[in-house]
Amino acid sequence: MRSVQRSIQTNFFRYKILLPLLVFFITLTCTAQDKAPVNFGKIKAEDFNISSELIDSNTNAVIVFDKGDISFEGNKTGWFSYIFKRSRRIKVINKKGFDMATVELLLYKNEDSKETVEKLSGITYNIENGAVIESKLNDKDIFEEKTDKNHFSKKFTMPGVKEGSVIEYSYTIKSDFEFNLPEWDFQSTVGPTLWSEYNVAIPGLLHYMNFWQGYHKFATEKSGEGFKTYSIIGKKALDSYINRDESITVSSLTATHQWVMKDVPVFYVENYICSPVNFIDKISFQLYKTYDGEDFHDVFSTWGKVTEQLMKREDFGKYLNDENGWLDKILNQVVNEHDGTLEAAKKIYYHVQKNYTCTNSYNKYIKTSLEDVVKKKSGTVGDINLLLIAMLNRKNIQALPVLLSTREFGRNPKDYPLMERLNYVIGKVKINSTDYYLDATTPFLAFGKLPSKCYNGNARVISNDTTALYFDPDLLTEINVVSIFITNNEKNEVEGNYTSNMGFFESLETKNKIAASGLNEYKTNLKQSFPEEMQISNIQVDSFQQAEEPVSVKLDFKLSSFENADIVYFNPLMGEAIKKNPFYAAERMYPVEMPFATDNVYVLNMEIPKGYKIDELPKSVHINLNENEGVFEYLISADVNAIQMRCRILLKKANFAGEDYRTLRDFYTFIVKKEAEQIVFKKIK
Amino acid sequence: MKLRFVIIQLLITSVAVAQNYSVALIPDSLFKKADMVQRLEETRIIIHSLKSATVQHKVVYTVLNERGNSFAGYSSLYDNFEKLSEASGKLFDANGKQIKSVKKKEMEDVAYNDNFSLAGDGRIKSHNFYYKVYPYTVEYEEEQEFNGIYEFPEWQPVAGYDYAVQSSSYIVEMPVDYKLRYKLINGAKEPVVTQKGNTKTLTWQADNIRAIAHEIFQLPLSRLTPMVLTGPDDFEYGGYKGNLSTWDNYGKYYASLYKGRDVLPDNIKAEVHNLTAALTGKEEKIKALYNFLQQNTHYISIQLGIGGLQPFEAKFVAEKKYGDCKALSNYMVSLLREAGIKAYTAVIYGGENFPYVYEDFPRHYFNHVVACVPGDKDSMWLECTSQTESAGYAGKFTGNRKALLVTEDGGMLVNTPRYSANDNLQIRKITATIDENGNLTADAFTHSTGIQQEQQHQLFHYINQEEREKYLNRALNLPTYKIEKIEYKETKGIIPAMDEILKITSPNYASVTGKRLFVTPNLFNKESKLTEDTSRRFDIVFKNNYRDIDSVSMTLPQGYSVESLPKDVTLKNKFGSYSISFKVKENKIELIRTREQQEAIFPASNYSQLVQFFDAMSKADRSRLVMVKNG
Repeated sequence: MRSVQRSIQTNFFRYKILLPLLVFFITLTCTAQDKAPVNFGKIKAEDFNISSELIDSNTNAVIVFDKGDISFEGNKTGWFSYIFKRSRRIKVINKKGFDMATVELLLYKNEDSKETVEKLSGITYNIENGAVIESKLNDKDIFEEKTDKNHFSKKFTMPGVKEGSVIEYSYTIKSDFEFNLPEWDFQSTVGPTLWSEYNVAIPGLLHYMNFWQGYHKFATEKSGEGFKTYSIIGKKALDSYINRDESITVSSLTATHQWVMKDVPVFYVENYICSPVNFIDKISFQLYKTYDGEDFHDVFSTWGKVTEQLMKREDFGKYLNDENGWLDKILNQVVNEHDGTLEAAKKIYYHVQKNYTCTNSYNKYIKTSLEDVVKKKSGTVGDINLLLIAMLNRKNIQALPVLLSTREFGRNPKDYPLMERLNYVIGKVKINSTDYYLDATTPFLAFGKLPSKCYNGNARVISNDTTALYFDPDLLTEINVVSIFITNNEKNEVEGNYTSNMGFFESLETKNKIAASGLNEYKTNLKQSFPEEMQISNIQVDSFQQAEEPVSVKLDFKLSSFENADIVYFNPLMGEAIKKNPFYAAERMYPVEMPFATDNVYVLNMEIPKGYKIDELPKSVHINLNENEGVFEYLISADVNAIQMRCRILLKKANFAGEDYRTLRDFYTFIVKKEAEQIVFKKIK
Repeated sequence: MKLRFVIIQLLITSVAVAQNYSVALIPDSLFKKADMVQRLEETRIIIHSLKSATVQHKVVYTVLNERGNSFAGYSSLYDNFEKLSEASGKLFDANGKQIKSVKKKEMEDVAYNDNFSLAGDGRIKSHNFYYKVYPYTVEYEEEQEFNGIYEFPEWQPVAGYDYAVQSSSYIVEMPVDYKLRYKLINGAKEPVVTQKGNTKTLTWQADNIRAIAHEIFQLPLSRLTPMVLTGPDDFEYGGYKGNLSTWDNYGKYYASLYKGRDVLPDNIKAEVHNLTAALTGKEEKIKALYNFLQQNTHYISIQLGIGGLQPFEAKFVAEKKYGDCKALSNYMVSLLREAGIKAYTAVIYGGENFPYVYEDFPRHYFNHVVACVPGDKDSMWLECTSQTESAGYAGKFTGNRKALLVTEDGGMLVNTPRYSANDNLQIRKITATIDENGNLTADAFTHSTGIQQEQQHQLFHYINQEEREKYLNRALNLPTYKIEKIEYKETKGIIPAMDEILKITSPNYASVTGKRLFVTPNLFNKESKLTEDTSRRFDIVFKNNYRDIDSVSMTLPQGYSVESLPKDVTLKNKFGSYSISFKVKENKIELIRTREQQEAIFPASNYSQLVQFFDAMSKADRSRLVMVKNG
C-alpha cells in the first residue's frame, strides 16, 4: 500500500499565486459557458421543483445556489477594504432542514475598526394555492450579540418557513481586515450544494496566495484581469504620495478569479476522522505581499518573515525577548538546581502544569500579559506555554515556541505560514543535545511528551533557523500488556490474579479520570467491567498520581464457573476480548485517521482446574494485515496440567487510506470472531 | 426579652464578619465523603416594596481536593429585572490567610447563551481563582437589585452532592406590613422573627450538616433535604401587578400578560373556518387545527425583557410562522377559540426532572407553556413547540405532573396525563437464522407505545437515515453488523405507537469453536447489573411504568444437537416481574421474555435484594445456548 501521509501531502494542497499582470488594457474575452442556473431574487413556481441525483430520502435541505463576491474599495485609513457579498438560495425539504433558516454572521472588531453588515435582506417563498407568496425579513428581527471584546455576531431567522419553502438571503460585509479574506466552502455538512460560486477581484497592490483542498472538481476555474479606480483617503502605505487626509485616486489592474463547483454531495462526518475541515472542498487566502506603487512589501511570505513579526508581537514574542526579571520571585521558590540543567527544566515544567489551569481556548497568543496569567493562575494554551518558555529561558534553558495545529482543527501546510491554520503553541528545549517538546497545559502529562491531539503533521519552530517539524502519529505506538495467572488453591477453588500495564495515552486518560471522579469510583467501574463469574478483590492501582510513570492495575479474583458444573465454557480472554468492531459503517470514502499505532498484548497462564479436562481448545492463528501493516496473533497450547495463551493485536500505523477501509474492517471482524471462541472443559468422571 | 434577642442576633453577625476560615476550625464529621465544605452561606433578602428588593448573597467554600474544584467558581446570571450591583471574591489558604481578591470589574462578563435561543438579554458574570493547593477557601459576595418581583430565591442548605455545610442562613427583611408567605419543607424549622422600627426580620439558620452521596433510584434532593420556599403576596413585575397568594390569583396575573394577544389576522380566521367547518367532532377539530399549527410554525426562542413571560401576539406568529413555547401555545389557543373550542394556555415544567409542586404554596415552579383543551373526562394537551407530536400526548416531557391552567376566571392547578404499564409497551418479535459459520440474519418487528415509543419517534422524525444507522450501530450491541432495512410506521393518538421494522445481518454473531456453536438467543433487550452499596441511605424510587414482551424464533444450522440449554427463569417480587424461557424444537430455538415494572417506592434496606434481582435478570438475559455438531 502506498504511504497515505505522503499522498495527502501532495494531493491535498495546491498552491497558487494570484499575481496581476502589470500590463494595461487587456480585453478579457469571457466565454461564460457556465452560467448559474438560478436567477437570484426571482422565484417562479417551477423553481420549487428541484431535481438532482444528490437528493434522496436523507436530504433535509438543498443549497440550490450560493454565490460569493469579493471586491475592494479605498478606505479612509489610506488603504483598502474588502467587500464580501453573498447570496444564497436554499430549498427546505423537511423539518430537519429548518436549521438552515437560522443564520449567524460572525464578525470582528478591534480598537481601530469594526466590520459592518450592509444590505442584509431575505425573503421566504411559499406556494399557496398555486401562487408564490413572499415573507420578508424585517430589520427588527435581526439581532446583534456581543461575544467578547473582538467578536460579535448578527443573527436572524427567516420568517414564514415551512416544509417545502425556498429561502433566499443576501448580505454584504465590509471589512478593513484585508489580511483575512473570507474562505469559501463549496461543500456543506447539511445538504447537497448544486451551485457554489466564488468570484474575487483583487487590486494589483495586494497579493494573496490561495489554497484549495477537496475531493471534487471545479466546473469552472478561470482567472483574468480587470481594471478599477479606487479612491483612498488618509495616509498609510501610500504616504510617499500623499499627505494626511488627502484624497487620491489609484487606478489599478485587478486580478480576477472565478471558481464554480456544481453538484457537490453533502459531507457526512465519520468516526476516525480528525476533522471534517481537512476534507471539505474549500478555498482560503493568505495575504503575502503588498505594493505601494514603488516597492513591494512582504507581508507573510516566508517562515523567516513570520518569525520576525511574531517575535515583535506584544502578545507573543515580546515577552520571550525580555529579561523577565520579575519571574525570579516565583522561580526562586521552584528551582534551586543549577540553571540550564534537565532537573531545573523539569521542576519549572511541573510547576506550571500543577499551578496553572488551561481554560481550554486553543489560542497561540497571550490573551493579556504574562503578569496577568501569573495573577489569574489560568489562561489559554498560548498564555501557559509561553509563560513556561519565558520561565525556562530565565533559568538559562534555551526554550523556543513551536506552532502547530491540533488534529481536530485540521492540517496545515509545511512551507506556507498560514497563521489561521495554526491554533496551538508548545515549547521546545534542548538540554545536553537532546530535544524535548513540552506542553504544560495537560494535567499529568510527562515532561517531554505531547498529547495525541498535537500529532497532526507539520509544525514549525519559531526561531532564527525556523526548523520544520513533523509530528507523525504513525510513529507513535501505544503498548498495552495484560497478563492473567490462574491457579487452584488448597481448597480446590479456582483463583487468579490480573495485571494490566497501560500504555502512555491510556495511562494519561486514567490519571485524569481518577483525578476527576476519585479512586473509589474508578475501582467500582473497573469491577463492573469484568464478567460476573469473576469475583474481584484487592484492586491496586499504581502510579495514578505520577506524571512520568505508566499506570498499572493489579487485582485478585475467584472464578465461580467451575462450581458444580459438568461442562464449562470458558473464554480465555476473560473480558479483555474486543466485542464490537470499531469500524461499524459498512462503506466509506475518506481515509481512516487513528491517533496512534497500537500494540495490545494479552497473556494467560492457567492451571487446569482439578477434576477437569479439556474437551475442546480454540485453534491458534496468525494473520497479517496488508502484508506488513498489522498482525493478529492468537496462540494457544495446552497439556494435561496447564494452558498457555498469548493474543496480540498490532497495528503498525495510525493512518489508512480510504481504499483500505474494507480490509481494516474485515481484519477487525476476524478478531472479534476469534476472540469470542471458547475453551470447553469437562468434568473427569 | 425582645431587646435581648436583638443583641444576640447582633453578636452573631459581628462574629460572622470576623470569621476565621482556617481549615482547623472545620468539625471532623464534616470531612466525611465531602469534596468541599461550605463554611458559610448567607442569603439576605431586603424587600423595599412590592416591586423592588435587594438580595445579598455570600458563600464561603473550603475546597478539600481536586474534585471539589467544581464548586469553587463564581457565576451569576443577571438581566434588566435582576441587576447585579455588587460582586467580589477572596481567596484564602488552609490557615485562613488571605492570598488574593477580585473586584466586580475584573470578573469575566459574557452574554448568556442557552444554546437554543436566537436572542436574549441575560448576561453572566463569572470568576475562578484556579487555585490548586488543597485545601483552600474561596469567599464570594454579590448583591442583586430586583426591579420587579414575582419570586425569591429559595433556601436549601444542602442542594447538591459531596459537600458538607458548616453554616447556612436565610434572612428576609421587610416592611412590617409586607405579607411574606413561606413554606417549610422536609423538616425545615420555623424562623426566628424580630422587629426593629418598621422592619420585620425572619431568620432561618442551619449548622453542621454532613455530605450526601448520590444513589441510584433515589428521589431528587429537593424531596429529601430541608428547604424553605418564600414568595410575595401582592407583587409587581414588568409593569404588571399581581397576587400570588392563590393559584387563582397567579392565573389572573398570567391572564393579564396574555390579554389581547389572541387576535388572529383575517386570512388565518378564514383558514380556521375552512379547516373545521366540515368537521363535527370536537376532537377532530382540535386535531385539524393542531396539524395546521404543526405544518405552519416552528420553534424559535427569543427572550427579551418581559418577553421572558409574555408571548408574542398571535398575529406575529401567523406572519413569521415561528415563536417560542408561549407564543406558539397562545397562537394555538387563539386558533381553537376561533373555531369555538374552549382552550387555555397552561404553565408547566417541561423536562424529565421536574420540581415537586406544593399545592398549598403557589409559586413559579415552571419553565414552559403548553395549550390545553379542558374536557369532561380527559383534557387534551397540546405541545405546540413540536411539529411531530400527537395531539393529546404529553409523554415524559410534560406528563404525570401539575400545571397551572390560565382561564378567563383565574388560575387552576390541574394534573397532566399519567401513563400506566399498559400504555408503555414494547412488544418485539424476532425471526432469525444462524448459518454454519455463526452468521446471523434477523428480522425484528417492534411495536412500542407511549413513553417506550419516544426514542423511535426521535429516530424517525429528527435524525436522518445515515445518522439513524450510526445510532443503531451503537445502541444494538452486536459485534459487527449491517442494517439491511430499517422502516418506521407511526400511529398517532393520545397514546402514540411506533412500529419499527429492522433487517439486520451480523457476521459471526454466534461463535463457532471446533465442533461447538455458542449463541445468545436474547438479541437486544438486556438488563444490566447494579452497583453494590452496603450503606444505602435513601428510599428506592421507580419513576416509570412499563411492560416488555420479547419473542425470538431462531433457526439454527442443521446437524447440531443441544449440549447446554439455558435455564428458564421466572422472578416475581415487589420490584417487578421478569421471565425468560427457552424451548428447542428440531433446529429452532424459541425464546419468550417478559418484563414489567411499576412506579413504586421501597425502603433503603431493600437495596441488596434489588441488586440480587438485577443480577439474576442480567445473567439470564445473557445466557448462552451451546450446540455440538452431530457425529
